[in-house]
Amino acid sequence: MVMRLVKIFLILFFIILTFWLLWFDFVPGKSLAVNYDFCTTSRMLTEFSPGDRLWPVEKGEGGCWQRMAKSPVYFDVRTPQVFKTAEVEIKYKNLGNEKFQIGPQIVKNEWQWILVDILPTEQRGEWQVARINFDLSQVYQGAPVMRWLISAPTIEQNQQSIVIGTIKIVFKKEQLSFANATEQIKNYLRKIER
Amino acid sequence: MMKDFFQEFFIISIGVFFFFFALELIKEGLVSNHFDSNIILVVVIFSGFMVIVCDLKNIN
Repeated sequence: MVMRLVKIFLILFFIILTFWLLWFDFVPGKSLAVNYDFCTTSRMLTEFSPGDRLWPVEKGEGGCWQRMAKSPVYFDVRTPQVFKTAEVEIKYKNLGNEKFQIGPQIVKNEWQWILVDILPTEQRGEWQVARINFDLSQVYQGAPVMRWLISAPTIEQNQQSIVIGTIKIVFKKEQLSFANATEQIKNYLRKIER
Repeated sequence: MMKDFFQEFFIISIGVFFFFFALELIKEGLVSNHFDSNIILVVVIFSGFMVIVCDLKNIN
């Protein structure tokens, strides 16, 4: 009897866990926030690559950061749903005032990007903070991963480096409702790897 | 009783581990974005170890 109860409890626990994972992955709410602070690895946002264009991650009192020595560098975001917009907040130090841009890839495996200049909107201590909004309607979202690019084409030539402190991306979409449930389920299934 | 308990734990958790592994293969990030399935692997190894210990020491 006890063994049967244990068995039922275990099976129920894993069924609930599976539905909980599916629910979170489906993103029924309006937004999904992804953070990367270089101190801890993020499950949704990969480390910057390629490594030969970046200095190793440095640690200090104010947190962790990474210096970009060559351009461009990339990172991937695992987006579980199809989103309409993205709000990027980047904390950085661009002491040489180099041209500095960020944006998502429009077409998978093609050199097409929505690149927007990173210009400071706020000063946070010695860090500059920029907030940029992206319309993702043009971006291919049929893959489980969305590739982003950070470009600073003149840093190598001018022997400068740009320090990146944190990246926060808030992806936004409509909240799940009866009216858009079919569309959102279709969008979710589009993300399944083929 | 103790052996049965760990045996049940072992069978169910190994099944769930492979199920989550398959889910992750089908849809990248479904499990790993929110949950570290290595936790289940730890349970699998621990319960498997306990089953072996129970067998060796003739504990039911």
